[in-house]
This record gives sequence, C-alpha cells and structure tokens, in this order.
Amino acid sequence: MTDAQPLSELLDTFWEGDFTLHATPAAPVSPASEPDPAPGSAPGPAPDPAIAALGPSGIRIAGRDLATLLVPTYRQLTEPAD
Amino acid sequence: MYALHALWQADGRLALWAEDAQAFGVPAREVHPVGGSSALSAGAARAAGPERPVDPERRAPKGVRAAVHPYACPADALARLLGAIGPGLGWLAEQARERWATLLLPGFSATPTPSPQLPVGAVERGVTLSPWRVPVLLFEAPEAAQLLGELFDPYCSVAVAELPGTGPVEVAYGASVRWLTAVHDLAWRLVGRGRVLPVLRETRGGLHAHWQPAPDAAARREAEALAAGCPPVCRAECSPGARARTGTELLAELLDVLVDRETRVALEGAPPPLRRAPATVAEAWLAALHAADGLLAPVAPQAVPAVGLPGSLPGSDSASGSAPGPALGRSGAGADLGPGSGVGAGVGAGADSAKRAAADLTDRLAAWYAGTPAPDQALRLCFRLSEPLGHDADLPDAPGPSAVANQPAGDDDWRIDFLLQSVDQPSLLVTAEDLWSGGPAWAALSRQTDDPVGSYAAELDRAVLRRPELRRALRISRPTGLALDRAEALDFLREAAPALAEAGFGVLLPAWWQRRPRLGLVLKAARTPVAGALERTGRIDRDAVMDFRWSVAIGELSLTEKELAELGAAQQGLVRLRGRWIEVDAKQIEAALAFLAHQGAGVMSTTEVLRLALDPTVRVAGLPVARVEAVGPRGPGRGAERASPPMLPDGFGATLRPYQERGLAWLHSLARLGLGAVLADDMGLGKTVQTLALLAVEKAERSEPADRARQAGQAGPAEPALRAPGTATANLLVCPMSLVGNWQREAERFAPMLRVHVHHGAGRADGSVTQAVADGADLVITTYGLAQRDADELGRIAWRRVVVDEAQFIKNAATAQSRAVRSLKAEHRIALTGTPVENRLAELHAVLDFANPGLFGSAESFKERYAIPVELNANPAMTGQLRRLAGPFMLRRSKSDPAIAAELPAKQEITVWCNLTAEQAGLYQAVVADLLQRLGGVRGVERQGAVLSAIGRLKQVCNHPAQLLHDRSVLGDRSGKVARLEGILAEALAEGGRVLVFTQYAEFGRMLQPHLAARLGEEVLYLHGGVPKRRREEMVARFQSPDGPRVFLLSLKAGGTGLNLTNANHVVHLDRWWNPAVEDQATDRAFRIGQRRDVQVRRLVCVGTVEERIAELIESKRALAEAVVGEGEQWLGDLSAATLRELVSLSADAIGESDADGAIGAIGASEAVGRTTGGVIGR
Repeated sequence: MTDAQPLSELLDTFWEGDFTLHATPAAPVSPASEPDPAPGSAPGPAPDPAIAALGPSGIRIAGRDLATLLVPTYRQLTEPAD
Repeated sequence: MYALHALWQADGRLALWAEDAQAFGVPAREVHPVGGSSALSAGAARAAGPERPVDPERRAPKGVRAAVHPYACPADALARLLGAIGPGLGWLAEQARERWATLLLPGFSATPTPSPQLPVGAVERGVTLSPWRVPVLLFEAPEAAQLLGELFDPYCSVAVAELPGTGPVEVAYGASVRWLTAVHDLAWRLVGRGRVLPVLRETRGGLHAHWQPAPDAAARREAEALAAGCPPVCRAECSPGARARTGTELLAELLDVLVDRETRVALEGAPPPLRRAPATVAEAWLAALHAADGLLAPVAPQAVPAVGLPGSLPGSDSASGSAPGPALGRSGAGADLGPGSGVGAGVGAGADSAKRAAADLTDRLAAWYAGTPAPDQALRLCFRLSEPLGHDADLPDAPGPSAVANQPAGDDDWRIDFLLQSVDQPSLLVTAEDLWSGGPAWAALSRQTDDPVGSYAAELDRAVLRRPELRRALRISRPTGLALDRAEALDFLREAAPALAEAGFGVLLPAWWQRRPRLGLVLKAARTPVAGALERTGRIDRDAVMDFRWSVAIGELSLTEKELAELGAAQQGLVRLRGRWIEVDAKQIEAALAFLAHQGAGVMSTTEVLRLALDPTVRVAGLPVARVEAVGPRGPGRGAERASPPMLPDGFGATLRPYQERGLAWLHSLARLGLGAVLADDMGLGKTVQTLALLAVEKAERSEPADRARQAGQAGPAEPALRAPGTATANLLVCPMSLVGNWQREAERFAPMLRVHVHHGAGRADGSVTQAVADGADLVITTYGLAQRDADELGRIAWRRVVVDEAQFIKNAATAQSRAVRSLKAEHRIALTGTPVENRLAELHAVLDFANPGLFGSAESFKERYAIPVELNANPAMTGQLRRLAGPFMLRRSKSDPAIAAELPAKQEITVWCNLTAEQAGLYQAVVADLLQRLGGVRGVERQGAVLSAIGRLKQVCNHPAQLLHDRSVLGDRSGKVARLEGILAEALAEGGRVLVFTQYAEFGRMLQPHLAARLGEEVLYLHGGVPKRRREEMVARFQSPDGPRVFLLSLKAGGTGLNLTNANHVVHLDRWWNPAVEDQATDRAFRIGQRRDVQVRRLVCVGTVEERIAELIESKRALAEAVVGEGEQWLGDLSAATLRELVSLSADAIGESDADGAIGAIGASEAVGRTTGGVIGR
C-alpha cells in the first residue's frame, strides 16, 4: 500500500493517485444499488441516518431523549427543504 | 498553462498552489517571490488589479533549508487565476491568506521537476526529494470545504481561466486537487445520507460540538480505497522532525473536518432543537451543533431548571423543566464553559463542574454510539494488553528493591493487540495481523462470516466510537494494534477496558491486574515493657500500652521508606516493583508519606491495636489498614472454638456434650487472651453448665497449672501460672432474681468444688460483699437490682470476671443498672444471652461492648455503620462484615442446627430452679409451722390428711401466694416461679417455639391465663377439665395450626391424656404431681411418634422447699418410683415426722431478693395461713 510508504520511494508516481471521482447525483435510491455507480448511472444509496440503528440514547436534555431531539436535525440533513 | 495543486496541511487548512508553465525554464533569479511573477505578463498583472498585501511570513520551517520553487505561481497571481475561472472561486480566493508552504518535491539537478499536468515537454525524471518553498493561498476549513466543492468535477480535470488582458488559459487540476475533491465529495455524500454523529470535543478554544463521520460498510470501503490511492504529493508537507502522514491518516483528518463543515452548511437556517437559551452544558452542546463554529456558548449562572442525565441525579429529569437541579449530572447549575464567557474565566467551581458535565456527556455519547454488538454477529473484536518485557523478579539478576527509581525505558512499551474471536467458537481467536496476512486464520474466520475483514473494520469503528483514543490505530490502512506508553496503558486498564467490555468487546488483561494489590498501612506493635511487672505472655492486657510503628505495603510487598519516597517522586500510576507491575495511586502515596512523617510511630492502647486488627474496614488518615502485626497475643483466631477443650476437674458433676466442650474451649481460649466473650446459645443448650465448667477449670488451673496444660495435650509450652500474687480469683455473676436459685443449684450440682456466695436476700442483710468475702469465694451470685444498689461496694472489689446472665437486661447502656454493671472492675467479662441479638443491633452492640469495652467503637458509630445497611436494607455485604467483626467474640449455637440437634437427646429434661419471694417465704414458713404444730396431736388417717393438706398448700405457695390465699389478688410479681415462667415463655417464643404449660391446679391455671396473656402480649389457650369436648378439640386444632396461639396452658388431668399436641417443642411443668408416670404422660402429649423436633421439658422447682426435696427423692428412686411412691401422693402422708420435717423445712437460700417488709410479710403470712386452713386442696 503506497499510502504509508516513504515519499522517497514513490518518486515515479509522486504526482499520481489511484482513485475515482464519483459521479452520483444526490437523489436517494434503493439500498440494493451498487455503492459505486459509474458517472451518469443510477443515483447513490438511500439516506441511512446513523442514529436510526441506535435506539434511545438514555441521555435526556430539556426533558427529552437526545435521539428524539436529533430527529429533526437528521431529517434536515437527509431531506433538505427545497 | 497552469497546474493547480492542493495540500491539506497538518494545521487543518487547505493550501492551494500552482505551477506556471511559462515560468518553467526561466532562470530562478528572474522569479520574484513577492508580488507579480514573470508567469503572468505585466499587462495581465496590471489588468488583474492592484497587488494584494502579502503576509511577511515566508520563512521555511525551522531547521529546513529550502529554496523558493522556481516556477511556482505567486499567491496573488493564483488568486487572480481563480477569480478568472469563476466568481465563486474568486470570492473564495479573497477570503484566503497568502502564505508560503514548504513541500518535499522530486527534483533533478537542483531543480524541482514539473508535475505531469504542466505541459512543458519531456523533462528528466525527478530522482531526489528536496524541500521547496511555494507561495500558497491558505483557506480555513469552511472556505476549504466550499472550494473543494467548487473544484469538484468528475468529468473534467481542466478549467479555463479568462484572464483579463491575456485571454483564456488552461488550469489543469493536479491529482492532489482531484483527490481532495473526491474526499470532500465522500464527506458531502455521508452528510446527505445522515451518516454522521454529533460529539463533544475539548480543544484549546474550549468545548466544541462536532459532527463526525459515521461511515457504513460501503462508505468505509470507499474511504479505504481513497486512502490507498492517495497521491504522494498530498503527503508532501515538509515538517522537520515529523514523519509524513499516511494516506489513511490524511483521509481520516479530512473527512472529520469536511463532514463537520458540510453538516453545518446543511443545517444552516434550520430551527435549533431547543427554542430557548441553553441552561446546561448539554443544552449548549445541542445548540452548538447548529452553530457555524460549533463552539459551545457560555451557560449563564442562574438557578434555572436544568436537567441532567438519568441515573446521575434523582429527580433531575423533568418534562416541565420546573424542578431545580444542576446541569448535566454531577455539575452544578450555571456552569462556566470556557474562557471569555460572561461568567468569567477562573470561576473554579463553575469551570470544574462544566468539565465534569462535559466529560459525562462525552462518555454517555460514546456509550450510546458504540451500542452493543448485533445479535447475529459472528465475530467479536478483542483487545489484548501486553506489558513490556522486563526483568523477572525470579531471575538471578533481577533488580533489587531500589528498582523504582531506575525504571528501564522499555517500561513504556505497552501494546494493545487486536484480535478477532468467533462468537460461537470462542477458542477461535485470531490476531488482526494474521487476518491481514490471509492464510489459515483468514480461512477459519471466513467460515464464520462472509466478510471477516469487513466485520473487523466495523467492530473497530464501533470501538473507536466508544473510546476515541483508539482512533490512532486507524492511521494505517491495516490496523493490527496500538502502541501505548505507561500512562496510556494505565488509562486503558482503568477506563477503556471496562467500557469496552461493557460494550461487548473482549478484553484480555494481564493476570496481575485482576488481583492487583492495594496500598495499605501496616501496623507493627509490641507491648511496652513496664518495670517490675510480671510479664504474662498469654494474656492481652487491654489497659496496657504498646509501642507501634506504621509502614506501608502494597499487597504483600512491604515498602521501605526509600521505595515509598521514590514511588512518590516517580509520579507514575504503573510501576514495576521487584519484578511485578503494580498500580500506584499518587495521591495515596502522598498521603502515606505525610502520615508516616508525622504519625509514623508512638504508643497506643492495646484496645486500639485490637480494634485496628479486628475491623476490616478501618482507615487511618484515609488509608486502609492492610494488617496489624502485634508481638504478643494476637487476639482470637478463628480456631478458638476448635482449640482442645481443657480437662474438666475431678468432681465436675456433668459430662459435657460435644458442642458444650467446644463452647468451653472457646470461652477458655478467649479468657486466656483476656478477651471478653458473648455466649448466645439457644435456651436449654447449657450456657450455665459451660460457664460453670470454665470457672471450675480455671480454679483447677490455678492449683495445678503446668500439669493441667500437659495433660490437656495443649500445643506449645505450658503457660506460666495465670495467677500472679494479688490476682483476683472471684467471679461475679449478675442475673435476674428469678435465676439466682438456678445458678445456686447448678453450681452445687455441676461444680461443687466452687465456693459459692450468694449476695442477695437474707444473706445480704448480714453485711456487704467485701474483698475478704470475694477472696473467699470462687463465685459470687447477685442480681441486677443489687448490682445497682450496691454498686459502690461491688465496684471496690477487683473481680477475676464478671458474668452477666440474660444480658439483654443491660441492652440499654444509659440506664443506671447498665452503668452500674459496666462499671464493675474485672479482668474478664462474659455475657450470656439466649435471645438472638444479632438481628437487633443496639442490643448486639451493648453485649459486645460489655464483653470487650471500647473494642467496637461507640454505639452511635456502630449504629451508623451497620444499623441502616443491615437492619433496614439487609445489605449482605455489611451483614457479612458485621458477622466477621463480631464473630470472634460471639458464639451462638441453635437447636435448629442439625449438627447441634444431633448432639441433643430427643427429649431434654431440665430442672429450672426458682426462688421464692419474701411473701411466698413468709407464707411457706407459716404453713410449715402450722403443720408441725398439728402433727403432734393427730394420728392415723387424720395425720395423713394433715400432711397431705399441708404439702398441698406448700405447693400452692410455691406456685403463687394468691393460689393459697384465694383472695383473687393481682398476680403481679409475687412469685419467683411465675417470674421464671414468664422468662422461659418469652425466650421460647423469641426462638419461634411453641409451649405447653402444665399445672396440677385448675384454679392456678385460671389465674395464670390472663396474666400470661397480658405479659406476653398474645393469646394463651387454657384447657381444664370443665372444657367441653368440642371446644377442647377446637383449641387443640388451633394450637396445632401454624398460625395459632403458641402457648397452651393445661391442667394436668385434662391435658394429660388423649391429646395430640405435637406442635409444641417446649413443655413446662409448673408444679409436680410427684408421680413420674403422670408427668411423663403429659410430656408425651408433645413428644409423640411423628414429632420431628426435639423437645425441651422443664420442671420448675423452688429451691430449698419441699419441691426440691421430693424431686430429689423421686429422681434417686425413679426406677422404683411406682414401688416407692405408689399411685397418687398418698405415700407422703406415711412419712415419719423427722423425714417430713426435713422435707418441708425452708432453706435460707430459698428466698430471692428481700424487700423492706420481709419480716412483716412473714407475720402477715401466718395470719393469712390461719385464715386459709382447711378446704384449700381440691378446688
């Protein structure tokens, strides 16, 4: 793996990288789609908020569970208002 | 043409720079590092606008000699270039600062080689890596994110800039720019999917709310691919002394910053989660998640309703927010969060509480995010901590005791290895290193799950969520573990390991950590020799003082002062001492050093030494006491009861049962040590005989000490004589009045070698107990009442021992009676009690404290330490602790213990000796006088009648004066026998027993029933001949039922036959029929086939009366009882006058306490007897 090799050993490929820029638009698709679609292909993965799988937090702030308080925030991230 | 490059610097800013193709090949001297460059034409430069001021910071990093890149584009020109590409980029360029950066770039012949994006034709390949200074535009994180978003173009890597005066020029994006935009794109997509988690971080600027990436498996793979494909030029920042970051590290840093920025951009304009100003750290954090910079706003110091975290403060959670409470768990309200707040920095309590609140929130968030493993997870991530290899204490060249100061450098080489374990097959445990290398390990794991690497990565991510300090391990693309220094290792042991284990990870720690020794104080004490005193090595003299010296130990390792000082100076939490790793608490070391310096040596009382030795929870100067090493007697060991019982002297009138021998051995051991004892056996198990045995043994030992020791086979050398000149020998027994007679008779019967003096009743009238009297007696018996009244006299005597029977009489230490008894001077003390005191802590302390004054602290401290946890909460740990504390000093056996029951006869027959009151004695003597007077004038049947009548009346007197007088007077406390009966019933009921009480006299039963019911506070059944059959059956059924009345009073005739009363385990015969067969028949009502419990049968006999004498007669001739006594009691009438006189005369020891009216009572009794002559028996 070159990511950890000393730079002095990478002079031949110093200015190059082995990566691909994604061309996925922002619209969600079904979870069954490939994670790395080619440019112009089907849309990327559906929203999958990280807290969705966590359940109640047990942390109460201003009388409410933190997981509940964050729901609107995550909605804003995954379903921004037009 | 330009080639645009980018660098994400270690300071978290983006540096944009460019190569100018036109400048390539121009001699370096013509290149101006400041202002315009030859890369842009002068006209273009003028047309581009005025030059922007350049920050003078242009020096290369210290220690680096770097030349200016010959064809790098000046920063201002770069800014104009960006503006020429598009207005958005132009605006962003205006926000940037012009700086210099030093990069390591390939070169040839002292010239950096151009990047492939710069169309300058064929050039020599770069063969060396050298530092070059390039002008850069430096973008802060918000602008950097925006810039990267603007530069992102998956389809085209060249932009066109319309430079004024020059026309379109191409700007090729180098791989570094494209790579960075790819990372930004990943970040942007993560945000768009909600794959982010909010955390709280502490930075130099204060507390920050931060959004961190939470990639799923696909995103993780994409990130890994990006990291692997990172162009080396992205890592080219030149930092002297620092290694270049890996692609993985760089990616992680970038994602962390960019995800946070893009999340905030996405949340711009959205309403905040809370509609009011934050009042707690948690609320401030929540609000800061939506703020542009994420910095937590200071929380105003007001008593606002602020809620915290569940479990940290009761009642802290309130939906209405109206309950006042501190902010966030342990913090106080209005916590000041950082410098520059309105409250003002340095408000100690506020700042501290905010820190605590923040730490609490951080921890709870981490726990929430880490969650628990999925139920169907096949593999579990394990963390194995390995200590550095070092000298082994067992090796010949192991360092000596002074190894503390010279800890080898390798002691900081700790390591955590990551392993994967199969959940279904725990023996399948594979290191991450083996996983990455493929082969059998990977194959084995692949059989458990399709994607072991993916599972490993996911679990590692989860672990990092739980413990962010593990993130360091993710700096490489194939993490296998983490190197730690000693401080980090200690933090892992103390904090991370429990948290990870709780989150479902496996944690493998060194064995020594599981049983790490604790620091404690060690007390060495030795008896202070007193000039001229006889040294008695066998006994603890609680009044003596002892020389002491404290030292410190860690577990079993005693530390020298030098080692302790070195530990304190080392300031390390983990130290290798004599080859072993130990955890060291710096505060404790400091406290120990201070303590030793000021109170390390001196003198203290033996009682204090004993208390320190016995109390497992004691702390001195806040430090636990590990052990006490006393030279001399060490106090009772656990084997006191198992010591060989001493030999009973010849003439002792009983054979002790095995448990009684053990009791004697225990009493004897404690007595030899000078430690008091509490004997708390159940009633009927022979506390009296065990105590008398001890007294008899000691008397024999005083006479023949050495021989007794050898004959008894006791280990060790024979003890010197326990009696030194002047040592007291008399034992004082204090008991309730009703037991005086019992002690007398038992002492006469079992220990006739004891010289007994009874200090009560008529004998007391002759004079007081003087030292001479005490010296002439082995056992002085007195009552609680007299112990109080004659406290001064008794207090002047030096007793060998004070024994208190029915010790609950002194349970209240404040009463005058209690104080009087406790003030008696004695070398040894014993408390006898039949009530189960261990559940009534106030009583327990009273008896323990009587037996060993001061050893258990004050009643208040005892109650505070044990009462609530034991009595109210039944806390098992504290109950166990109390048992261990009191255990050496209290022996209690119960009849219900199978081991004890096995040693008891199925039917235990006990004679209970009672005294007469003065009133009874007076009446008794009057009846006797009347009889003897009549005997002279009658013969034959008339004589027989007179004798039987008198004896009957004597029996009634022995029961109660009211029975003889038939005056329906209140029973009160006028009968020693009734008083004794009340005591027996109370004790039996306290043990959970059920009692049958037989009396020959139906009339007496009628008097007793209400009296006993009132005294006991519960129903007493009474069955006599006049009770109808149905009612009789009902009473029997009720007594036999588990919830029914527990005391059943029966007349001997009615209750003697045809009844099944097997629920009883106690039988009391109040008065005797003097026909053993009749009594046995009554007893057998309880003791029947099918009765599973052992039965105790008590016969109450008044001392010194006809009852005692006829009982002796019957006992001696029991085998021929029927032949001698015949049926009924007719045989009494045929006794000769001399025999009769002997039988009926009243001994002096029959009477209990006298009262002031003793003499008048006797005269009155005669008159009363005269009134009752005739017609008494048979009612």
